[in-house]
Amino acid sequence: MLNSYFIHTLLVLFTLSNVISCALPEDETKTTDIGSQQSAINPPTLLLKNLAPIKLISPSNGEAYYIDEKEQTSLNFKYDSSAPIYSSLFLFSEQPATLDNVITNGKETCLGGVTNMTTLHAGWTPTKVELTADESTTDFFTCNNNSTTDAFTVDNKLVMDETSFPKDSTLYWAILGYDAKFKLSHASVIRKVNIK
Amino acid sequence: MNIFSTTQWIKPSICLVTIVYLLLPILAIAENDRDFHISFGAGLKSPSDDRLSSAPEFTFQLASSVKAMQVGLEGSYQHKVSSNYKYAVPYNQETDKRNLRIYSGFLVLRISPWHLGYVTPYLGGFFGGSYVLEKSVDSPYFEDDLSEDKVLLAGPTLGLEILPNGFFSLFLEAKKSFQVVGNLQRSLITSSDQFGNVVKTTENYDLNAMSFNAGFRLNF
Repeated sequence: MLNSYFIHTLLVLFTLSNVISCALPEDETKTTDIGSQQSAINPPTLLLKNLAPIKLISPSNGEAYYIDEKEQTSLNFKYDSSAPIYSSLFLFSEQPATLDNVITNGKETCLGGVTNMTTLHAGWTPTKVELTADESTTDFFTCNNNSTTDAFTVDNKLVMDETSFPKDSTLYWAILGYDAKFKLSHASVIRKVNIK
Repeated sequence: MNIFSTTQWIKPSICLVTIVYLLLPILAIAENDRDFHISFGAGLKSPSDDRLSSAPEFTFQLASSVKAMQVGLEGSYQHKVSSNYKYAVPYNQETDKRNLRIYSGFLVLRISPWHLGYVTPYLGGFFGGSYVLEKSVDSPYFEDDLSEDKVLLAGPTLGLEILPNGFFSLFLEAKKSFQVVGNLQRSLITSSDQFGNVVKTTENYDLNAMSFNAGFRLNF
């Protein structure tokens, strides 16, 4: 009998606390900010903010490339590829526009590039990527306008010729890095190459 | 005003369940036939939505008896309901590995019309709510993408109590849960590209389920 009274008292206290909680206001604060979950490393000159940096080595910013000169048969892009799991080298026809860690005009301005996200781009060395006038030696692929996910084709090579790179134009290049889940994790600065 | 909004129904329902339960000891005392029990159970709950997996469920119950009727409060926890999904990434397909943890509270009603010596079959029903939390298994990204995480459920119960007259008894129970108000609503990634664009979509899930539990009761 005593046990029963004791347990009933406990039950009443439990339910009373529930009644009190009914009168309390609900906490409706709920935010999802993908950007805030990313790396805190934030050099202001990176193409995309709040990502870890990738160091570009060459060509240096504003370097000239003389497309007619026979001795200059290739353009070599070098960068430090040690940080990200996956990386993509992009060539743009215009300065990329960005908003909230997205390149908003990427599709429209993409000239070509190469990535290690697919084995179909195999055969290139991430530290030294060559753009040549010959399909058999160039490492670059053209951009893919038919895919919602893939930036580059896997079967159309991009070569250094005046059709793709007119004289007196400016070429912009940058590297983006990705983690194991294919999410952006790294970015380089943007550099220019002046085509002469 | 949307009368089917889950959040508007949750609080009144919890309050109603609480008030009804507060009256039970008074009813029991009035009948002078008072007893109650505490029970612990475990089992498997299988959702009818095939995007969610079966997962173990653990229950805790406090109940009072008024003659052949038992009324109680039940709390349950369902652990790691797998809710993985695939989405498109550059040149590949990726799996977002996730699971749900489901916390529930129900008002439980049971009737034991037959006493067959060592066993007592019972039937009844329940009504209450579930609150869902989502966890990412191997990545901190895109976590907590539930836009609706509260659901009201109700359904029938069928069970068997073994050695019902002692201080310690065992039970076997089957429950069918029907979603009454609300949906589980998630924001899912459909694709991500190399420029940083992430495309998402919203999908509704229902928590209709069948569960089988076994456990023991302490009868006071």
